[in-house]
Amino acid sequence: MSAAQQRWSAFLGQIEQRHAQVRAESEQHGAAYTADDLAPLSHHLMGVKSRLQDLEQSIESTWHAKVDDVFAAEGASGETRAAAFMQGRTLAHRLDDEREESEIRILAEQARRRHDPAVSAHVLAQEAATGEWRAMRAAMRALNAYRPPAPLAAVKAYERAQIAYWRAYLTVRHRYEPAIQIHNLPFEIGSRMEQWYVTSAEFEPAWVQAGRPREPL
Amino acid sequence: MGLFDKVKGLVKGAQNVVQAPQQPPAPAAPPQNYPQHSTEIPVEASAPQEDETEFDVAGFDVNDDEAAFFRAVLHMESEGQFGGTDESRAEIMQQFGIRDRSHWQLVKESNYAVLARKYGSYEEVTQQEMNWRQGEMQNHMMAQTAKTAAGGGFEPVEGIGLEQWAAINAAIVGGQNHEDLLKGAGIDNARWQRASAEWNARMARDTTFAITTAYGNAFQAASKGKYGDFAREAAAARAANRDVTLQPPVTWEQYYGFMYEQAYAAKQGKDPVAALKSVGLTIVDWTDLSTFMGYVFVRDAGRNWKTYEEIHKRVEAEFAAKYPGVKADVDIQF
Repeated sequence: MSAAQQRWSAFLGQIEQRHAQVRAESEQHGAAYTADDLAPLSHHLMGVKSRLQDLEQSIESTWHAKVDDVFAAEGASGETRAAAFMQGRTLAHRLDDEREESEIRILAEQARRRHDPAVSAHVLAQEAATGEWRAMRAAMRALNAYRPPAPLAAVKAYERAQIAYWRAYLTVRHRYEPAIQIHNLPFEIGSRMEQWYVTSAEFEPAWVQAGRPREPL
Repeated sequence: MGLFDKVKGLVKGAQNVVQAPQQPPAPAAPPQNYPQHSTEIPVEASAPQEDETEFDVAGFDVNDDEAAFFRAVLHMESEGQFGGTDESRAEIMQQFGIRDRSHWQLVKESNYAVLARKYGSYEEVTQQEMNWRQGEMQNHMMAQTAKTAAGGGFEPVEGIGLEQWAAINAAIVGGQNHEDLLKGAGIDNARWQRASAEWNARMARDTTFAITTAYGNAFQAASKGKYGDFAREAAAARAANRDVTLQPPVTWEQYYGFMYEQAYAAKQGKDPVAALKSVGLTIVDWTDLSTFMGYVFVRDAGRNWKTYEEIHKRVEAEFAAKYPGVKADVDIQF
């Protein structure tokens, strides 16, 4: 392993470790939080979120500010540099997911203790749909990673992942929010998907050429 | 990417397409060998042949219809909902006599040069283009609103219309007593809860943001905050795609300062609303003020983005000095 690669991996390791440490401390704080007023917890979470986002953003900003030059000075090939960059980006994406999930876990724990529909509806639904949510974000990133035009398979994969997420999310959310028409899930999912069909899928040539093949809801 | 970056991109986009002529050419009769619809450009009798091909506005007449050119730029240069498609690009090329992408670059440069002559600077052209795009967005939103209305999306819920729901919510956020408000409006709590649930559900389904936008307008229309009139003026100006008629109630230094007070409070796990209070603002005041200042920025940043950027950087540095040590994890270095 080159010296640049070693330094880069060590740097990423520190970021990952600190991110995990801050999340763990925050989850401990959330678990111990018993006050009726959620506002102080909410402010705490804002601070944690800001710190975690700074850590995530430092990956790409450091790459552009220093790391790429160090790899170049070593005479690393374009392929090597691209792989190293992707190593950082992959970590940043994973940390992004873990930050969001950590906050949801903390709030879901509070929701379970309180039985307050106003607090519960989103966080418990989101917690229940974590797997589908992760899959949806992965599909979106995979689609966005293509230099346009994207292949139909990637567009369809993202479409299916979104539908699966909304189905899992709404199935739980309707327990706390009766206005959601659970007996008419295709309507609820369809209304949330429509904007994506109109504003995104419509501009994917492979999708249009294939006759706009929408998944059945 | 922040708004500053977007504005910079637009300005540079307009400037980079052409080396701005130091002395814009004066109108003259179009040379015989220029393509049809070419603009009037003086050409020296002895000018080399290649110079003649460096200016061509094709079928555009930006002095009379700049919107057609701005629309073409949008379609030729961008994808997505408000951008172009292969079909729309082909149609534009056919309509305005554009041969290929290379010819389009020349046509684009030439038309921006004519516009710069018309408006006096590339920055002003950028602002005019931004204003045109704002108008297009506004037209799109109005169409979405009409579509939602036609589909029954604005029908009252249990007798509570969107405006009334928004007005009561505005009053609650403004600090009035929830129960007193409902009592005054003759609405029992169960009915209010059902109506709120349905309005919230409609907003969640309405990913075109037509209901959310209407709600926001109604919320601010009911605002009794000290900047309520400014928010209402911004909403009226946006609807008419015009500049505001009121002077900003605070300086940009103050406005960015309010932003950074909240940001630094959040970074430290403190209450941003308390940070606002420390500078004499309520959350309603801040919402109204942001609406107004945000719109003023959009209507002016194209021509004055350097000024805004300088002020923003100055305030950013002031706050970094005011709150040293807030940035954590500086020990992690490459």
